[in-house]
Amino acid sequence: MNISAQSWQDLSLAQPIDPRSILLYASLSGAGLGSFILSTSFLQATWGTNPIALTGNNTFVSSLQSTDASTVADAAQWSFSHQMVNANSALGPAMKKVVFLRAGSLWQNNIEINFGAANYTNVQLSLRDNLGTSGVFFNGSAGAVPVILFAGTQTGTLTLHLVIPQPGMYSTVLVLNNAGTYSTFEMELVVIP
Amino acid sequence: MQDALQWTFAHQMVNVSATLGPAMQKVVFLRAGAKWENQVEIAFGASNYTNVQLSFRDNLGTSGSFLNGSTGAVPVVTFSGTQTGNLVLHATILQPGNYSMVIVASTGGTFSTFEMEWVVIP
Repeated sequence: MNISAQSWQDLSLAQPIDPRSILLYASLSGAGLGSFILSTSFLQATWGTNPIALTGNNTFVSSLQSTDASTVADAAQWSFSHQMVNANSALGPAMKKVVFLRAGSLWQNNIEINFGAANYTNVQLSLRDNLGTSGVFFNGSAGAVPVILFAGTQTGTLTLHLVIPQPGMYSTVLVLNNAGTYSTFEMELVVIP
Repeated sequence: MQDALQWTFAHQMVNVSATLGPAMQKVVFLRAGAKWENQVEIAFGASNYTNVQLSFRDNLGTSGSFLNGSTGAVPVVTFSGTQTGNLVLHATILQPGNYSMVIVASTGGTFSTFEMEWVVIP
């Protein structure tokens, strides 16, 4: 857990965590750069089942200093020696959400996700534990949660781009809407130096 | 005994509300210490499960160990017999911490996993 709580009662009263506290940058191919918002749709009354999954393909680290050949090579070498995701059907389902990433402002982590054939809107990335909070009620009547919103309609195979400055373990979640039914896709980010 | 009752009163250990995001429904708050038995009710449903095994979730990502065998073996706590319906898992945990656990179980030859994220507090 990323929110320090001693019970579900405490968690419901806890302040949501701002995803910008772990993210320097987040974009989704198809949507472009994500934007920070206080979302009143992150907390829902009903949920559908998660339909999306990591593909295991096209998942790698790239250098953000592309004019420096040494960092480009460094990123390629790091990706060569680090399998970041495991989409093997033989892997126990409970482990399929684990993603190994590289920390640092120089490194962009590229993670391919299969959204399937459905059309998703209101795709939001935030800390998973925020789902257990009541949100914040600043200037509104509904609990709002700080998220990174990817605008537009998302479908098919897309790549999530993340830059994470600090090593650590972060439980994150995508909340997304398909024709009025919201679902969650959890990702456990293991960010290594 | 009073201490345990008071702790339970002050700590909601699980949350099965349908409004809770599915990704959080596996989180369980537990109490650390040799003196405390944590009891967590689990609905196995109408199916009959055999080979019910409790272990660390991360072990699913390993190859197991091959000592004296040709297949990878993983250390687990196994619960023998056939399990069905609502059952209570009793767990005593010494050290506080966050532990990703999993129950692996077989029904009709098909294995499945049930993940639990234990948040064990002092």
